[in-house]
Amino acid sequence: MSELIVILIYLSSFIFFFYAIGKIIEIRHLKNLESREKALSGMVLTNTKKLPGDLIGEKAWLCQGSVVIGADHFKRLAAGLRNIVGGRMKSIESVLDRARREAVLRMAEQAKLDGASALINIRLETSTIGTAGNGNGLMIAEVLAYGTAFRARAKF
Amino acid sequence: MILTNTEEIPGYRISKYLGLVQGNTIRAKNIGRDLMAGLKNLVGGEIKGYTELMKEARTEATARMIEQAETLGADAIINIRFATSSVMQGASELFAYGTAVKISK
Repeated sequence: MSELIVILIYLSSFIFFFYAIGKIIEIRHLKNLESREKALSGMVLTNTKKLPGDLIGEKAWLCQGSVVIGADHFKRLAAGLRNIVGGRMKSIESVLDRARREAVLRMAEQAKLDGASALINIRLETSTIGTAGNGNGLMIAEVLAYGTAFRARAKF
Repeated sequence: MILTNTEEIPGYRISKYLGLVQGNTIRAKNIGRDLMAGLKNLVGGEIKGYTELMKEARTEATARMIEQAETLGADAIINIRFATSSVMQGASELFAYGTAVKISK
């Protein structure tokens, strides 16, 4: 009996450790994303095929950003439990949301560096690239964002 | 070579469509990177080794597409799309395709 308790304490501290580290990484990442998104607020980002009517494009090139992201052990456990009863997997939602924002930001930052003022026809693609290590991991996903960067000027 | 994922290129007229061009590559993750990724995978967050790997592979696929367009005598590739699929455990295929065109001012 006491052995069982020791094992339980050991396991729960293990899980708590991953929860804490995962949470810290997540919070820091979200803060980082917010400040970078603010810095890019002047740029036109759309997923339409044409430039907004008041802009004229002068030069166009392809631009892309990608990120590979994994969920931490705690999230995986939470998702595994959720998988039994069904419903929203909030823990995994936040991972993919962060990955998408990061990919779009990388693309937009690269475009800005190259002198673009607008990014149009943005496409987002998500794919799982398999599980790492022993294969019991739930997910590693890659998010790719790509679009056409424009050097544009106002019409009038 | 001008690359875009839109159907037109501003400031240019498309004078001739040369057809579909494509490039692909299949990459498997290597042991060194896999070890680090396995560790990183415990705590979550970005797995930089894999991001680099995918970036390299995508550049390779794009380069093959461009090569194909060059043999057709194209000046630009329009309407480019990227696709990714995992073909087996631990390996994925990256695929880029677009339409090769000749352009004039």
